[in-house]
Amino acid sequence: MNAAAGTILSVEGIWKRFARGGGGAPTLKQLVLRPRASLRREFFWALQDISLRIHHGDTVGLIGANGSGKSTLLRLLAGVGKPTRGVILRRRAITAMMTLGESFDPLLSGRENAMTAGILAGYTRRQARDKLGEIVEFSELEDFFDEPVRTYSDGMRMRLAFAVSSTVAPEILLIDEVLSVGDLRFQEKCLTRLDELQRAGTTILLASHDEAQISELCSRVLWLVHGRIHAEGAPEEIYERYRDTMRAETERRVVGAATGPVERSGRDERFGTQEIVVEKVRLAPNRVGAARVHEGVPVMVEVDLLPNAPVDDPIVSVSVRRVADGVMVIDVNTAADGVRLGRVDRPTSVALRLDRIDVEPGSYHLDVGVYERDWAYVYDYRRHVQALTVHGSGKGFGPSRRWELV
Amino acid sequence: MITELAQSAREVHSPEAAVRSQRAAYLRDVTLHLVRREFSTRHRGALLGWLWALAPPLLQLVVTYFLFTKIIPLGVKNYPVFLLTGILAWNWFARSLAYAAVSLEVGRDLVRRPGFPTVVLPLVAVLIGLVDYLIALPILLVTLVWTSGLHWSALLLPALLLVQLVLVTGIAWVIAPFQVFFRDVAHMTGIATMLGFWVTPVFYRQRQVPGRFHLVYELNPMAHLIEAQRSILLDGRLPSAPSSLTVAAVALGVAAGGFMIFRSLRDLVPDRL
Repeated sequence: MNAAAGTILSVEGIWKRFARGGGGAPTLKQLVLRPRASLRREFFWALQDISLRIHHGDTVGLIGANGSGKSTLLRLLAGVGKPTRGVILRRRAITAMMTLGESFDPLLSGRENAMTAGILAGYTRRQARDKLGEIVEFSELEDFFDEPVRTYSDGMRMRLAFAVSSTVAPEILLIDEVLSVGDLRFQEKCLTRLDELQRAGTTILLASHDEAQISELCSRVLWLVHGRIHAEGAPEEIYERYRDTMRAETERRVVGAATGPVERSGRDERFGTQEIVVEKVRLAPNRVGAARVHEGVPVMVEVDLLPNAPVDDPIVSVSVRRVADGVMVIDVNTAADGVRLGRVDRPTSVALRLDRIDVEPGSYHLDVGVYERDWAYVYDYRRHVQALTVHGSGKGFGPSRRWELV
Repeated sequence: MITELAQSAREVHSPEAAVRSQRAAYLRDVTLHLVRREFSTRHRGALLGWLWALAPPLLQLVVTYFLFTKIIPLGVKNYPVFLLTGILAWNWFARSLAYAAVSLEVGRDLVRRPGFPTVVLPLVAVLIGLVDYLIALPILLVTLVWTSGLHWSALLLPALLLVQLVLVTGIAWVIAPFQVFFRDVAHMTGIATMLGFWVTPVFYRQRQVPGRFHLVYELNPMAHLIEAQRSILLDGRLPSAPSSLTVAAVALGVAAGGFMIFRSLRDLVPDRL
């Protein structure tokens, strides 16, 4: 975006090695009893030969499956820990990183954590205190600001993290998977804020699973695979390759999978590895067949999942397509809405409640998919699994609204 | 609005901006903030609040006083003040090291924040111990005024406290990072300070110890510091110069060494937490 302004962050061939099994240090007992075994530990490379340059004012996206090294890279860029090899050059101190869970002391209140963040960002007590009002206002945590952070939901924590880091106005902002939590309205507010920060010249690094966010905010995307930069470029180009890889990976797995064949039929087009399948999709209150609803009424979509093998945190997506031209009018998934399904090892139903169905009257199809937790491949995708007919109420259609004379 | 904010923060970070941006002022602010924060949370929800900091030394005082005047009389003059001097200085030492040992683990969320000066965490632990000391200090001083009177030499107390602060911080800088690598360090610290309590003249006079054990006391900086405190508070005499200067030099050496050890291990800490 602003390449002429020069490099603010430059990384030359960094490698990062971790001991397998996390940070658990050997105790002295292990060291004395089994000196060799406790010292000779198994290592793995979390990052391999990463080189990159970030220019002042850039917004760079980091994508890749969980465990591909996004968080490790962000942490090293922030100066938390040192790379095993290679150098990181920073032209500016990095004082703000947004992560869920790690950034606050759970026993302290939102106010105390915000004060600490302000002091750490280099403000005096008075300056930090002056910022609190703005933080409360932005985070909308008025009633909870003096409650300990451990009582906060993920969404509230994210609101606090975002309000704090964006208020202390850092020059470089690192964001690790924070924006996918919380309600949509607040996410919008965050995106607006990020946009303002971008325009004020803040350099942003954003790790996210959300394609829409990355595409909207980032001028450049780095795709990490097993700790290496697999591809780098404009968002559209990288996402196209990402999807191609996902398709290829799904097909490879389908061929290799022992469970269930891939069904294909004209009406019920379906593909995926079938490790977990979309057994049935119901539109409440109707139980079978084509659902007929009036536009503007609430609709519930129930998806019955049947695992052939235990699956962790699958992502369920529901989209609604107009039959006439195939245009997608609704496209939602659990990952983007911050919903985690946990381990699914028995038949499970997931219900999606749409408060209002605000679409043009007509015929629609539902496509329902269930994906691997990182969108790495498809477990089961069922196209046109359910029909939906929307009748007009004669009052027009659109989101909830009100008219005013101004 | 954002532009404005960005500018104000930039001023804070830019090297040419006012005194604020100086590293020392920043470290001081962070340290004091964390001490204050820890102090306010530790006593939160307790009806008596920070008064609880007084409970352990008072209990120790009463029990030990009873033990060594009524059951096994040691015959020490002005024993309550003698005892309280030792107990307060020792408790500060022992509790600081106990806090410091786990300071990096407890402050995990801080250590993992970009730009956080990890080096302040062990210091914060020692300062929290100092706050406990200062809360109890009025009791010592009041008792002193009441019994043998306050001497001019008592004005040297801050200097002795400073030497102890430097010494304990140096030790804290060593044990805090090692605890992250070997979780035994906190246990070992606990055992060592427990032993230290007995081989430091906290509740008895060093003079009562047989001569062949004196080397142990000569090598124990806390023994020197407690003796020095007693001489300025109780006896109204200046502490022995060679002893005090040696202890001060040792404290500085320990702090410098501790700081270097801490600095060399600092970057390995985040991966181990």
